[in-house]
Amino acid sequence: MMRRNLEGKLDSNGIKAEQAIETGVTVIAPTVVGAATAPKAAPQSLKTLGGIPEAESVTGLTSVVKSDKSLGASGVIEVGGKTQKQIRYTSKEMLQNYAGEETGSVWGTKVKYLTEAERADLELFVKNGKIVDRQGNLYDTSSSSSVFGAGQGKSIFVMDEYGRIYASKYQAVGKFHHSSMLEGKPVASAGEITVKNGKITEISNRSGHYQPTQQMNTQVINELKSRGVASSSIKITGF
Amino acid sequence: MKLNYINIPLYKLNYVSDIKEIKLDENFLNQFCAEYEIEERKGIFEQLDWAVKNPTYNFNSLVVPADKFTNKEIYDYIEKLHKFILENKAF
Repeated sequence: MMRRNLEGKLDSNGIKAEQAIETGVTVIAPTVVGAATAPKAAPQSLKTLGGIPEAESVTGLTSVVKSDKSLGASGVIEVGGKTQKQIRYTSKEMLQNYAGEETGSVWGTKVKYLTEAERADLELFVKNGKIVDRQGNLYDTSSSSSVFGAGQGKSIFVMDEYGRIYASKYQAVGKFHHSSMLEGKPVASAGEITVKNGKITEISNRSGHYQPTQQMNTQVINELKSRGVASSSIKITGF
Repeated sequence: MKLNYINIPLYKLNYVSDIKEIKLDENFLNQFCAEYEIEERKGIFEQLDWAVKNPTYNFNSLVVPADKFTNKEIYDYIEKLHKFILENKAF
């Protein structure tokens, strides 16, 4: 497993702040040093979701869900009018075999890499313990088709290092993969997810591109639990 | 020959513990034809055709899970797939 090694100046709490690519977005990341595999807890001085007074934490990311503070990723917060992203989870790089797939060199066909706007449409949220899409509708994978779960009602999903979860009901080899959702960037979790009327019944780590360990998928379970999803009935499967 | 299209059918090897789990049936055929344009299917078949004639090629160097299957096992799958696509004129 590889950890992203972020370089930059650290403050007295071991926290690095750097300007993100997006205008007006500041990334606050815990120091990532060494080969620890467990998610590093944020230092006490950092305003994490749990440590921020309710009035200051805004986790909804879209106009639809913005007013509900319980919906969004735990690693994305808004303080003082600025979105701050706090790396909360260990991530893993895509296998090198697939590098350049968006150009057609790997498959002959070009794999679609989503833009930020396109990706936003695939983000999942949690509302009252149920999984909802960007519009607030209960998410359901009955019509989904993944490479191996074809006809079995499974979406493919990824979670980024900030805890944002994205899922696609469509997967096609050489055209749309787990890597499509985060433009081939590292993931904290990846696999297939089965959801019935907003209730998750199964999560796997089946991703040929990332081949995450089950430990990595514990991260998405933890993220979901932190947002109010009852995880005891979720079947964990995988390779 | 630069092999890339052949990675498409080989990718499923990531998702099975036994190659026999991959069913070459009507469902496979429908999905294959629906998902890929004729030129893409031709590309896939041409590379399968090349592979069938080159059994000693290191198929583990392609986009398959490292050392999960032997070269012979991958070759046998390629051969069956080649025959299936040919018989069903899916290109």
